[in-house]
Amino acid sequence: MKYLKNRKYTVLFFFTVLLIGFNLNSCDQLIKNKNLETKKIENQKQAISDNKNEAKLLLMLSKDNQVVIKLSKALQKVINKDSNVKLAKTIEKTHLEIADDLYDVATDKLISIPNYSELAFNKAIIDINQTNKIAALKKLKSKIDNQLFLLDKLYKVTNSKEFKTVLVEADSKITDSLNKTKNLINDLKKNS
Amino acid sequence: MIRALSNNISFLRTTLYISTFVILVVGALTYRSIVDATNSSEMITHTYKVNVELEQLLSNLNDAETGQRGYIITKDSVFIGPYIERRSKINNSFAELKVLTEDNPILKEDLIEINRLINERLLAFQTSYQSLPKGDIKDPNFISNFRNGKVLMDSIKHKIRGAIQVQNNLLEQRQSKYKSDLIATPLLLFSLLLCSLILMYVAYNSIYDNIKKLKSKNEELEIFKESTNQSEIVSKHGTWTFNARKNVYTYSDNLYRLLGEQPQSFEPTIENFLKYVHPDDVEQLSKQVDQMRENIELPYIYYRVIHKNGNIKHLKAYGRSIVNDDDEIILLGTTADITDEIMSFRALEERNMELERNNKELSSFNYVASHDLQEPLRKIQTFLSRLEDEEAEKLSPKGLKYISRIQNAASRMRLLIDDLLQFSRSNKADKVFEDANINLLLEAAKQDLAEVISAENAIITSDNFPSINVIPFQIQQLFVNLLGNAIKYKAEERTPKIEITHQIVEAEKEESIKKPKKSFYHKIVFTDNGIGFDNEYADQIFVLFSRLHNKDQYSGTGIGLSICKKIVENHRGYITATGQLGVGATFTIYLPIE
Repeated sequence: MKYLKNRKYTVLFFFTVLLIGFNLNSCDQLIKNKNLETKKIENQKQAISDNKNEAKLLLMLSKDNQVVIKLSKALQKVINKDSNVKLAKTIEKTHLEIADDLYDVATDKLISIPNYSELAFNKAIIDINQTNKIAALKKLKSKIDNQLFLLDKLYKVTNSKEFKTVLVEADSKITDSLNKTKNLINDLKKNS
Repeated sequence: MIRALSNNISFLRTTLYISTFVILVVGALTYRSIVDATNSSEMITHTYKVNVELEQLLSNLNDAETGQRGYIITKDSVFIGPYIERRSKINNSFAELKVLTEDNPILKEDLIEINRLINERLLAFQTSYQSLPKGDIKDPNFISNFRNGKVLMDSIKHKIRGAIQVQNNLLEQRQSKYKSDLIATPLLLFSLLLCSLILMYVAYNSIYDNIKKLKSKNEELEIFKESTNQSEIVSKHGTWTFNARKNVYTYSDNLYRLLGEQPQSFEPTIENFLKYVHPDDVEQLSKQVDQMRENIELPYIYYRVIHKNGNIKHLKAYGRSIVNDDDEIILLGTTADITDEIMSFRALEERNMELERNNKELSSFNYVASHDLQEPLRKIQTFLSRLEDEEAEKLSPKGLKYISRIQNAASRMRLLIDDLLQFSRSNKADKVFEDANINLLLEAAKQDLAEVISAENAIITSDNFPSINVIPFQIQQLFVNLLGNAIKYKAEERTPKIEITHQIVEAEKEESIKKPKKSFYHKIVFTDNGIGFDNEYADQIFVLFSRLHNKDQYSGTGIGLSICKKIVENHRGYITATGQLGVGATFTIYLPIE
């Protein structure tokens, strides 16, 4: 109390009390400052945007996958050579697996994608002639190419590690399908 | 009470702390309330967003269903577009809802369920379409699938509405909280404002009062400063301060004048000051200043200064330390010009010496004169006696009468010389005080007067006296004079009675003791039943040669009571007399108790 009789110490003490009070009063403000709030809102917006992109890409990927399944299935009926039929079957099987994986992921992520059983809003009719076969195969290749492109984009967009694992696996499978499709095209071109 | 408290620094300081605390608390509560209101508002917005998205989800699903039905009925692929588009929009709604429900696990569970149902419903669309055999909508499989789809759609709607209801309940709660926060915030703000205003008003009042007081005090201080300056000039002294920590001096205006300089004409340092000090005193003063710096005290010191015109002044300085508000030790000093005092003292000393010398000369003259006068007087009396014895027959009656008158005159002269001698003895400086038995001294006095006492049959009564520190022979003389006086002025018709009493008294309670030197005195009172005297002459009777009666009525020289007074004064005491004509007289003696 002796020091409080001195004006200098009184003012010092007063400002210390004020400072402590101010800090106590505004620590919330210090923690949740404006920049932090803005960042939080931006992060939220970014998360929503990422989620939308992810859903959009997954939907596109899934649709392409359905087209691939549909084409590969249709090709099996028009291709004469057994080995090629087998290849088309493998592609179909691979992409059905991919469809299952994608469906599981989509369910986890609350994304609605078409089930493979939803196929055939448009029936894939492929004429028996060679040109149409090659055209269908080229379309298949194009869809698989597009799938790879979408996979790459999805890999960049998503933050989920599990999803990325699924994407990596799908990428390898789709690349394999692409190779098989290329072989099919080459084989058909040779035979024509 | 309040005024007294408002002048108390500790009270003001405490009030400041309490006020600060109150404002901070109210401010914190206000801040908290505003934050709560903002949070409530955000939560309401959040709930609205969730509701909007859920409604959007339902709407998208309805659109998809409409598209599907349109396609089934018309087989036109135009209707498939909205169905495909809505799925994408449903996904967008889920993307929003996922983020919005991050902190709500129940709603998250609901969303998973809704998503599952939506997927099933979309699958059901497809299944319904696929199960439609060539446009036959009456096919039982198609109808079953279609109904199944409706059930799913109802489930979805029910689930979404349930979630919306939960959100609405939540919204109500949040709105209620928001309202209460909104009510509390202005109240707190108003309280804060009110507190601040009250404090501002109190502070303003206090500051206003203080400024008024300060102004008035400043004016008083200004007057005091001016009067101090004047008093310094009049009383020839100056003041100075010395800050021990900073080693800084300040001199008052008159201190400069004491050095023969104009006020503030040089920097107030000890070095500058020493330039004016007399060369013989510089060394000693320097030592005393060093001592002062060490002890922060300055006892009385004396030194001389020389003015520019050569005048030498004697100065006396003294200083004592105080501690100021900043905990600094300040020496407050006063320097006075004592030149006049020294000059007066010297003159007085000279006069005293002269007076003492004169006194001694007078005493010795008195003593010598008394002694020397006795010798021719003795011769006169001797030869008168011889003349009377041997030549009386030859002288005429007239001659005898002359001789008788010469003898009377000679006797009176002898008495006068004796008394004068006595008086001169009482003046002598060689007085030796000793503890004496006053009873014995009184007895000795009575013995001296035994003849007269016996002749007049005088009755003397006295108290028992303690030993008193006195000059014994003088006290005895005092008693002789007073007893003799009482017997001499006896009343014709009655036997003289003298009563002597003693008591110890307190000086303050005795009116007769003026300016007492001691607290207690011996009071000795002589009361007689003689002729008394008029109190008008109470003081006069102690004057030398003063007599109240004609020499023919009562013999005497008028020296006796003067001797008494002298003796009592030698003892630093007091003597007073009171009387009543025809009744008697009372002499009171006060002798100090050492």
